[in-house]
Amino acid sequence: MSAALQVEGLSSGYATSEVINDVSFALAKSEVLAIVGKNGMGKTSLLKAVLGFLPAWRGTIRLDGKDITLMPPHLKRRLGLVYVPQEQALFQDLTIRDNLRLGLLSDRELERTLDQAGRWFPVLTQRLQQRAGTLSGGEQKMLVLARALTARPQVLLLDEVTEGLQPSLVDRVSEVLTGFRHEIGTSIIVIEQHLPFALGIADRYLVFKRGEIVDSAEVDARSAARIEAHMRM
Amino acid sequence: MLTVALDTVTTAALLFIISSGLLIVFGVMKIINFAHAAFVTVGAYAALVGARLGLAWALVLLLAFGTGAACGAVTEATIVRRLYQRPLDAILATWGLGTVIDQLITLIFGREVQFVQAPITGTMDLLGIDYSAYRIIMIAAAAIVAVVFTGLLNGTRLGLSTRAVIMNEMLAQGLGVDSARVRLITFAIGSGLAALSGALITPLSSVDPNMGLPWLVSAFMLVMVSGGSLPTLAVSCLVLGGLQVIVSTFVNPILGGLTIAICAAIVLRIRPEGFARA
Amino acid sequence: MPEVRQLSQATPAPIGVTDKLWVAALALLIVGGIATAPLLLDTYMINILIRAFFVAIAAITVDIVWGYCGTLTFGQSAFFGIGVYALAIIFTEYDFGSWQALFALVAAVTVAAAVAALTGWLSFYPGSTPLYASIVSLVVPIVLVQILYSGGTFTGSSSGLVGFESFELEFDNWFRLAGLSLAAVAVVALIVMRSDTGRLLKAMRDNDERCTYLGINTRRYRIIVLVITGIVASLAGFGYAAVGGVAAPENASFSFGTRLIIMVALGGRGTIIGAVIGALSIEVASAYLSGSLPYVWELIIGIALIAVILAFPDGLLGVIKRLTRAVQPTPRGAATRLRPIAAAAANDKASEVAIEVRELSKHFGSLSVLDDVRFTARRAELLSLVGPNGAGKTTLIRCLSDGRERSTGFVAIAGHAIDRLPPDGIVQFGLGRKFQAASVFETLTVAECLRVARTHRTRPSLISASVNLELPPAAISVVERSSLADRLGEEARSLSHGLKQALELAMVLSLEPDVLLLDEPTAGLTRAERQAFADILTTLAARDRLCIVLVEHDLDFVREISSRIIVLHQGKIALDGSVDEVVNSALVREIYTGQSTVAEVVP
Repeated sequence: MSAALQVEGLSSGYATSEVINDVSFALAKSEVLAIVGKNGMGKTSLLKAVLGFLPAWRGTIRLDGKDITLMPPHLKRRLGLVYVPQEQALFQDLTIRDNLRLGLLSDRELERTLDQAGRWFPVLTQRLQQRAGTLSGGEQKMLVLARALTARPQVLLLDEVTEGLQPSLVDRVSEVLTGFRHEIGTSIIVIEQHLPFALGIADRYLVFKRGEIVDSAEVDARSAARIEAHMRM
Repeated sequence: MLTVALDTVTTAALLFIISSGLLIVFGVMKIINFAHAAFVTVGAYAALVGARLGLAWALVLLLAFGTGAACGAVTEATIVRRLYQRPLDAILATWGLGTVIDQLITLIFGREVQFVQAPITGTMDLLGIDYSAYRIIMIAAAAIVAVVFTGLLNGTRLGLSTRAVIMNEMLAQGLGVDSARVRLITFAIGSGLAALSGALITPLSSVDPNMGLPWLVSAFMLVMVSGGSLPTLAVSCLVLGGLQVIVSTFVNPILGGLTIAICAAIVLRIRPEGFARA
Repeated sequence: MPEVRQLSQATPAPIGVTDKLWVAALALLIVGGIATAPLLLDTYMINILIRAFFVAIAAITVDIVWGYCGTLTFGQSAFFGIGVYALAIIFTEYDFGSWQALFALVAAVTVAAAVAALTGWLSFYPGSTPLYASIVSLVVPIVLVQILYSGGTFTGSSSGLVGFESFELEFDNWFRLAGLSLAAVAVVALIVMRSDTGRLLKAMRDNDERCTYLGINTRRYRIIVLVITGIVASLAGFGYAAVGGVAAPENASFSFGTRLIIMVALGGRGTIIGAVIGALSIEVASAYLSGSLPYVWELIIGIALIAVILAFPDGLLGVIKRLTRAVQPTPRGAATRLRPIAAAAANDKASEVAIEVRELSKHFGSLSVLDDVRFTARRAELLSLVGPNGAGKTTLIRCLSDGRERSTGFVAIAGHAIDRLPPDGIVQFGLGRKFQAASVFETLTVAECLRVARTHRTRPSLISASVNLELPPAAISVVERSSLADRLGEEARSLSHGLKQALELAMVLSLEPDVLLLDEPTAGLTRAERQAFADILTTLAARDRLCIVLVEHDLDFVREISSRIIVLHQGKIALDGSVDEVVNSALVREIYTGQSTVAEVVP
C-alpha cells in the first residue's frame, strides 16, 4: 500500500537561494505528521514546494503512488491535496458562503457542505452572507479549516492553523481533526509553533531546521522535551 | 436640456460597453490590452459583413461578439500568456497586434469609410422631444450587457472563480481553480464585448479601419479610474461621459473629446488606486 | 595618504591608446561619410535620409527615457511636434528672417521644456507607477494634437501648415547638417549613458525603491531627463520642419510616438545605437515600401514588433551581440580600484539618541497593525526586534524609514523629526535600510552598484565612468570578507543569494549611516555567512557607534549579538529589555510556543 504522500530528495527555493535542501519523508494513510521548527526555517516553503508554488529543482513528490512533481497546483487540488495557508487564506471581500463554495470543486454538494461546516463551527452558519473580512481572526481560522475539511481531502496540509486561537477553540480543532482522520482516513501534516496542540494529535514529528530535517521520531512522552532542546540550541 | 441629458446617457452607455471588456481583462490579468480598439473595429466590420449577408440584427450582434471572442482567445494563447511577467511589454505587443489587425482589415475591406444601416431608423417621442430611436436602443443594450455581465460574474461558478483569481491568484490555484483557463475565457469575453460595442456603434457613425482608436484612450482612462469595479465603472462613465457631452456641446467639441483623458489623468494623480473603494 | 589597493583584475587590458585610436578612426569614418555621401546618393535618398536623421534624434530621446530610465513613453512625439510647429507657426505668421528664426528656436526650446516639466510633474511623484507614467505620456500628444486641430488658421488645423519660407540651404548641406547633428547627439548620449550618471539611470530603472532608500531623489532625476530629452526632440522637430517646409499634426501624434518606440524596440532598446539603426532602417524602408505596398508594410512592422517583444526583447542589436559574444567574450568595465575614504571621526557632537518613537500607530481602516509603539534607541546599541508572524515588525521598520507610512505618532532619526518625508529625505538624516529580499540592481555590476550607492555623497560624473571606487571602511570590509572584491566586474544578477545580501549590506554601509535598519538579514545564509554577518554587525555597533535595529526570527542569532531586545506582539510592544530579561521571560515563551494562560483572541 503506497504512502499517502511521499517526498524524496526534494530541493527547492527562490531564484538564487535554495531554501529546501534534499528533503525526504513519507506520510502514511490516516497518519498525522507534525513539522516543527523555529520561524524562517523553511517549513512553509516546504509545503509550497510540495504544492508546486515553488519549483522542484530536484527530487520527486508522489501522491498515493502517483508522480505529481511537475503537476500545476490546481490539478493537485483536484487529486485531493488540500492546503490551508498561514496567511492570506481567505478572500476577504467574498462572503463566507462563497469562500466555502470555493473550497469545493463544484456546487453540487454545496448545501450539505454548508450544513456540515455549521455543525463543526456553529458561528459560521449564522453569518453566511457576511463578508469574510468582517470575521475576527479566530473566526477566520475556523472558516479556513471548515473550507478545507468540507473538501474531504486525501492529504491535508495545515500551516499554523491554531495561530491566534483561544485555548478552547484549539481543543475543538483538535477534536474535529481527530474525528476526521478516523472517519475519512485523511492524512494530515501540521506545521505548528504550538507544541501541545501538535503533539496532541500527531503520530510522528519532524524537526525542520534551515531547509533540512534534523530529527524525526514517533510522538511519545519525551517528544516535547526533545523538540524544545532543538529549538533552544 | 433634455437632449443633453439623453446624449449623456447614450454616451455613457456606449463607453460602458466598450470599457467593461477592458476592465475585466485588466482585473484578471493586470495588463492593458492595447488591441482592444482593434477588436472594436473587428466587431464593426463583422457587423458590416453580417449586414451585407442580410442577417437579422440580433445575429449580426452575435456574429460580432463571436468574432471578437475568437480573436481574443487566439491573442491570449499566443501573445499575452507569454508576457504575464512583463506588463509594459504586453502593452507594446498588443499595440503591435492592433496594428496588424487594422492593416489586415484594410487589406481585406479597403480604406474607404463604409456605412451600415441602422436596424431602427427615425426618432422616438421621449418625454416630449424627438430623440434618435437607435440611440435609445443603445441605452437598453448597455443595460442588458451590464446585467448579463454582473449576472455571470456573481451568479455563476465561473464568475466566482474569476473573482477569486482577480483577488488572489495563488490562493485560487490552491483551491483548484485553473487560472490559466480563467484568463483565457476572460480575455475572450472582454474582446467579444469590444467587438460587440463596435457593432453597436456602426449605425451611428461610419466604419473605417481606424475607428477604434479614439475610444481606446477614453476606455483605458475610465478603467484606471474605476479601480477594477464594474459598478464604479458605470458611475465613472456617467460622470465623465456627462462632462464630455457638456463640454462638447457648450464649449468646443474638440476639447470635449479630451475631457475624459484630462480629468482622468488628474483624478489618478490625486488618487492612484481609482475609486473602487470609495 | 590613503593607500590605494588594487583589488580587481577583471580586465588585464587597460583602456588606452589602442581603444582611443579605434574611436578616432570610427569618428573620422562617420564624419567623412556624412560629408561625402551627398555626392554619391541620389536626391530622393538624400531627402529621405535628412528626415530620417531628425527622426533618429527623436528616437534616441525615446531610448533614453524608455531603454535607460524604464518609462514606456508614447509622448516624445509631442515634443517633436512642438519644435515642428514652433518653426512653422512663426515663419507663417511673421515670415522668415533671422529674428524670427531665433524667436522660433527659443519658443521651441521653452515650450518643450515647460510641457516636459509639467508632464514630469504629473507622471513622477512618490507612489506613481510606471503604468501611470505611460498613461500620461499617452495623453500628452493626444491633447496636443487636439489643440492643433482646434487652432484654426493659426495652426492650420487638420491640414497643417505649408508653404512657409525657411532657411536657404542646399539639400546636400542639409544632409551634412542633419547627419552631423545626429552623430553629435548620438555621441553625447553614448558618453552620458556610459558614465556614472547613465549607470544611475539604469539603477533607477532596475530598482527605483532601492534608489530612494539610497537617498536618491528619483523623481527629480526623471523629470530632469524628461526636460532635456524633450528639448532635444523639439530641436529635432525644428530641423525637420525647417528642411521639409511642412508641419502636420501627425508629427505630434501618438501614432508617431508609437512609431518611435517601435524603432527603438526593433533596433534594440537601451543601446542608443539600436535606436539610430531602427529609426534609419524603418524610415528608409517606409519611404520605399509604403509607396508600393502601403498596408503590407505596416503589417510587417506590426508583426515584427510582436516577434521582437516575444522572442528578441533586445532587438536587432541584441541578436548581434549574442552572436558576437559567442565569438569574443568581453568582460565588462576596466579594473576597478577600491579606495577607502577616511572614516568620519566618531562624531561626539552627533545626537546620542538615534531613534525616537512616540505613540506610533498604523492602521488599515479598522484593522490596527501597530498600536501606540514607543521606544528610544541610542548609538552603539544593537537592538533586535522579534515577535511572531504578523506582529508588525516589518511595518514598524517601514514607519521608521518612510514618513508617509504611519497613521499617527512621532518618529525622529538622529534627532531629526521625519514628518511625512519620503525615504530619500530620511536617508539624508543618516538612515540606511536593508531589505529582506536582497534589493540590488540586477543589470549593473557589483562595482557599479556600489558606485550608485555613493551617489548621495559624491555627485556622479556626466562624462566618465570612474575607475576608482571610494568606499568607507565598513563597506570595504564587507566587500573583502565576502569575496565580492573578486567579482567587482560581475553583474549582480549572477550572484548567489548570500553574496547579494552582502552586496546590499555593502551598498547600505556606503551611505555611511548612523542608523541601520535590517529586515531578516540572515534568511537563507549559510552558517559561515551568518557568522561573518554577526561579526560585522557587532563591529559596526561597537567601533563605529552605529545604532542597529534588526528584525529577526533566528533567536540564536539574536541572543548572540543583541544588546537589547524588543518583543512585538499583535502590534504592541510586549517586552523591551536586555537579552537575559527577554530570553528568560515567561511572556516570551507564551508568545512563541503558545502555552498560554493569558487570554488570547476571543472570536
